[in-house]
Amino acid sequence: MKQLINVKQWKKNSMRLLIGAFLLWFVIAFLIYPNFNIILASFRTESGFSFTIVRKLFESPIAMDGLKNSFILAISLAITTNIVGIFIVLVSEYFEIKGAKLLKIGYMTTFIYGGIILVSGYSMIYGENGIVTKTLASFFPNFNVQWFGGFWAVLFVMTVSTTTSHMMFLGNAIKSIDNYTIEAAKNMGASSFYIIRRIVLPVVLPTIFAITILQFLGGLSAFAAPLIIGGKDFQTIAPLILELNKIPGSQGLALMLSLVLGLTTILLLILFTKLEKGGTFFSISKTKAVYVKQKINHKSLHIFVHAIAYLLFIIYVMPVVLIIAFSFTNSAAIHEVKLSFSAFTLDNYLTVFHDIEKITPFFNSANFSIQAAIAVTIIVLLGVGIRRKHDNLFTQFIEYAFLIPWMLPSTLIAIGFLTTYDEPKLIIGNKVLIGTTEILVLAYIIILIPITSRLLRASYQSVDQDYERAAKSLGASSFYTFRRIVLPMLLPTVLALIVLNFNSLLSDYNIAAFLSHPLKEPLGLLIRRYTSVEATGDTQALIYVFSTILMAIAAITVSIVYGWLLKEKKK
Amino acid sequence: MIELQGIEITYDDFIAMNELNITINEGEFFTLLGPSGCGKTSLLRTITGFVSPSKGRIIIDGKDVTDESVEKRGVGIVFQSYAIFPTMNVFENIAFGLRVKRLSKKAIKEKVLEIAQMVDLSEEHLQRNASELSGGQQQRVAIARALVLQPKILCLDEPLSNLDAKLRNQLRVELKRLQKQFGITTVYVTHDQEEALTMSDKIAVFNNGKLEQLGTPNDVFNNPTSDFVATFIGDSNVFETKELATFLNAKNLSRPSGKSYLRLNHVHTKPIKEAIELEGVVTNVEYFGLYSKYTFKTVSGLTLRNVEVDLSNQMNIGDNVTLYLKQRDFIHL
Amino acid sequence: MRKLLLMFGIVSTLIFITACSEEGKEATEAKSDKKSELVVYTNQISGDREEVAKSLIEEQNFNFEVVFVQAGGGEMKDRLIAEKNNPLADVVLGGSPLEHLALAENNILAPFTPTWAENVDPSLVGSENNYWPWAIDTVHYTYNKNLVGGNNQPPVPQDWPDLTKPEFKDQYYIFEPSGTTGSVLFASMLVRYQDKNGEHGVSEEGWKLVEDIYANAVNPAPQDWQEALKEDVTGGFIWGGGVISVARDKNIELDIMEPSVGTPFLPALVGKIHTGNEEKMENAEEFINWWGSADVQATWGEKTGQAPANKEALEKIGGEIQALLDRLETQELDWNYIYEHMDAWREKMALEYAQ
Repeated sequence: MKQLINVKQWKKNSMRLLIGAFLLWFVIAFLIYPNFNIILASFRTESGFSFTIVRKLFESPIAMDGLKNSFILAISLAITTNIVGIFIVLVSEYFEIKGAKLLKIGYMTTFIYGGIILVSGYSMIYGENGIVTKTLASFFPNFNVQWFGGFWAVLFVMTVSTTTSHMMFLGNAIKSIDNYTIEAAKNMGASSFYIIRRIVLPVVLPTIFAITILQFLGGLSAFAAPLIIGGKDFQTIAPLILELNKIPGSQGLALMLSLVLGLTTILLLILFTKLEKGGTFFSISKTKAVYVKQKINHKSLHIFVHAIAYLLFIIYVMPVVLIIAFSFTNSAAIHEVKLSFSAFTLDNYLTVFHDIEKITPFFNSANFSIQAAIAVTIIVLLGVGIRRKHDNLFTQFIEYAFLIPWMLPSTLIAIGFLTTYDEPKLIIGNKVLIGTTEILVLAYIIILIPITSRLLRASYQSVDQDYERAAKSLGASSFYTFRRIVLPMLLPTVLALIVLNFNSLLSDYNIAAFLSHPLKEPLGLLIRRYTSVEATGDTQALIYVFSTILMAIAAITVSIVYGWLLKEKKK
Repeated sequence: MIELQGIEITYDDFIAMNELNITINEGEFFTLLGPSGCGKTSLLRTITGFVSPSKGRIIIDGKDVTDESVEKRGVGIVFQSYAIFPTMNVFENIAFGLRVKRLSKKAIKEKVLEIAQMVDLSEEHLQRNASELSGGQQQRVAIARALVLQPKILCLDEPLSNLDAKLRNQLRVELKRLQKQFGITTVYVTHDQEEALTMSDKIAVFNNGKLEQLGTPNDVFNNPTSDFVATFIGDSNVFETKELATFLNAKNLSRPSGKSYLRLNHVHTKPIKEAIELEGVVTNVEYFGLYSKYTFKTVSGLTLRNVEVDLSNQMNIGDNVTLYLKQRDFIHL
Repeated sequence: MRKLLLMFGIVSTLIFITACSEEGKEATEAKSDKKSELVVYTNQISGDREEVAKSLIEEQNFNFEVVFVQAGGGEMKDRLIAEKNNPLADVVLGGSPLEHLALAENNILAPFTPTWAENVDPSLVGSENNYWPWAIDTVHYTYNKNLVGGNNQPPVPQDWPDLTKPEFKDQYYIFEPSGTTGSVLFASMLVRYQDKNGEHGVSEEGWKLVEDIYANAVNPAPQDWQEALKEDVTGGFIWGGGVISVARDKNIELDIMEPSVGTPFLPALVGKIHTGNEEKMENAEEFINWWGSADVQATWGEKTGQAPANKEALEKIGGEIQALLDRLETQELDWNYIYEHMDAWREKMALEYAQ
């Protein structure tokens, strides 16, 4: 009997050892080894490892200004997105607002698009030929049509376009608040604002911290918005990193800048982790009241909140509407922002869809992306899960190793993969990864790991350990507990992450350009063929067409998850 | 049933429980009582198996389970938060442990229905989500979930905290009823002396990781063996024994230098036999409905408080009274 | 939970089906045609050109299947170098001497002599016969004839230094040197100021020119430079084929600046990758022989506006394309000098001048 128990015990331990060993192998083989290789290669110059890199950067006005602007943007964004993000989440989930459902759909448009096309969409409204600009100019003849540029324009566009994580994660957190606590506070005479500040926000603070870190990183690595509307005075560092990364001898510079951004983010993360300690609030109410939307009783406040909510809705939705509408026109119409029947055409859609070969890349990319999105979730769940069970040096090491990709430009990660696994290496069983489709999926997993691990960790932390203890006391194994108790509770986050990751990978070019399999062309390369600066044809219109298709795919996946999988049961 | 032999619990440098020896008998309602941080929850977790003692053995039913994992100890647990799995309905919650044991669907259903009936959960309740349950129903689900596996021991970790007073009283009664009905050995953790006194067969009072006293509710209330127990349980008048020397026969005191305690209910305003009589004046009145608490100042300078259950005997601040105390009601420590 | 299982079911079936159908396709093709693939990395088959290339290949009906992998010139080169221990590509089609010199330096290209060798300018061939020119691109500064030279308009630019004058402030766009057109145009400016003692082999005067060109360019760069040429800006960087196609597509009267030192001519090169697989390398040679031949290049040139390097083909096409080449003076470009310094130049521009 005793021996039998030992065998069982051993089995359980061996399972844990196996997971630990797998994670260690994965981290070393794919996070550390190739990246370490490329870091060494990048810093190795003809004169040996030198400090000229640092000197060059310090002497470069573009690098210094870029860094400064990136930091200004990151800090500003961390504040402004939280304000707007929390507001729209309150509007869609917390307050009783007329038409909240519609508003919520509008606020969720950031789920389905981003990058250059998003900024183009905003330019069509506020830019030189933009709708708002034209309107203003018709009322005020002296109106400066180039008003929409520089820091404030960048901040505006990025603020309203990067509230995705708020809508995705903060909403759930707010819905899980015990209504009794709110009623109790009201009963004690607290105002709506006071309740939000003292009751609601503290409970969702870990989520806000997690989001803020992402926001900060997003600001630091801002690319499209500063590039297109930043103007001479407000260029950020990311375009420079990308450019330097393309110059063979300058990758060390790119890496150095990337390290600055990555390390800052990680410092911030450590700071927030410290702040968070002891600050995670579990609901201890036994008789949790189902969450109820709050009325705003103050009349003028009521009107004010509605007005802002609908104004934001219009701001959010307009670019999407314009992009879709103008995808049926030509580049002249897009440039002038003039919709007319004469410009209406389906040619661009026909160009994309007229032969089957152009559809295959959609499937290829969908396939790679879904594989990577699911795999990264599983790997990160293992890492985060084992860290929760065993808080020791090894699990901390795994957790921090998960953040390595934040410190490297994604193209450099791709090159690191190529140069490391171009010949048989013992660590991956003497396989050659070049020429396989796995290499692209692996690289995708790597770049997704940091954000996935941050968000899953935050979500995991909000699961009370008593559930796991209860399950254990009822005889469930760790795995069974995880499958039946923890995973269902994490499901909203897991699914949201899979969708977010899937859509972010779908049109990837930077990594696919290096790692794609010749016979499995990914979508990013197809799009690039049609839309690169030096391509001929109606490239601008095609950009709008591809963007519309990608938005449609994203909208479908998002609505599958939110409209169907995560839909609460009707009572 | 449960023997704790020389248990010591440490977290890094901190000693949560000092060498402890306790025996809990079959069918007993055994309460671990003490203020927060006294080590009672650590001890419960050690019994359930979530925490390993740094020293000592745990014997359950004659078997050493010190190194056994949680699920093999035959201990059912009800958590402070109840930990009703929010992603499952009530039936699934109760069936959870049975499913782990891979019982047949039919057997699971039978057992769940049986236990549900015993804890007064209707079939309609079984289909509800955890979030739709009242506090009392949640407690019943938590207990049913633990009991359906027929554990030898039921451990409850402050199950009545964070509930409003009325519900707490109601659930206390129900909990005791269920315990009697199942006759299961129960280890109960609380910081609430009232809960401990009303429900327990035996109470172990802890402070700072040390067992202060072990006994029946009557024992710990009436014969506290330490300063801590005397003040933590029940309301007492506390004196320096020296102060009392003038009215108490000092020779009778074993330790004239210590402290003396007198329960509030042992300060009488009506004459009783063999009493010491003290003249005084009412300085404060607290009205509690069913009873009142009075504070007196005696001529000799003592402050005394009492509980007056007889509401016909109303006194006002400033009234002169005669107080009657029995020398044997004093507890000298 | 049930929904989730269903969803996972659907997703995994989808993955399975795509995987199967792909494999099935490959399997059946392998059985029926026994066609092996010839992987061609290229930066040339973008946009409308893809159709032209596909139909040409279809006509030829090789006994292997040609697979194009399209990427920008720089990425194509970086990828080939990264893959050098395990090459996936058989042919590199396109890329300037800058890219091919890097490939040659890394021993990626296999020397050979195509059948059309005699019809191309030998000065453009790799020193060990490891790459060959098949098309001649030119790169230019172009301007909208209606927007320069008139009243209140900037003058017609004659050479790069003209653009640094105040009249041209915000009047033109540039391409960053990360692309081929941008890099070659900047290189063509810098090589004119060769100076062994200057920074990165360029005199101070040369760097001043580049700095001022950057400073005067419109910022932010237009999102659609083709549209911008209509009225937003008066001119900007362009490649030879673009002058013709943009003028036609956008109905703009475009002309090009002709500096006195001549116009940079930029050969598009083709090379055979040293894969070690005899059969594939033979196929690669067959493909290159075909691609550079006078007939194919004549059709290609006619349909895409790209001037062939093959003299025979160029004469066959004649017309606008030949006229343009004939009209232009060739700027002498020392490709080795440019190749040697280009990375440092790009880095300096990125760190100091770029916007």
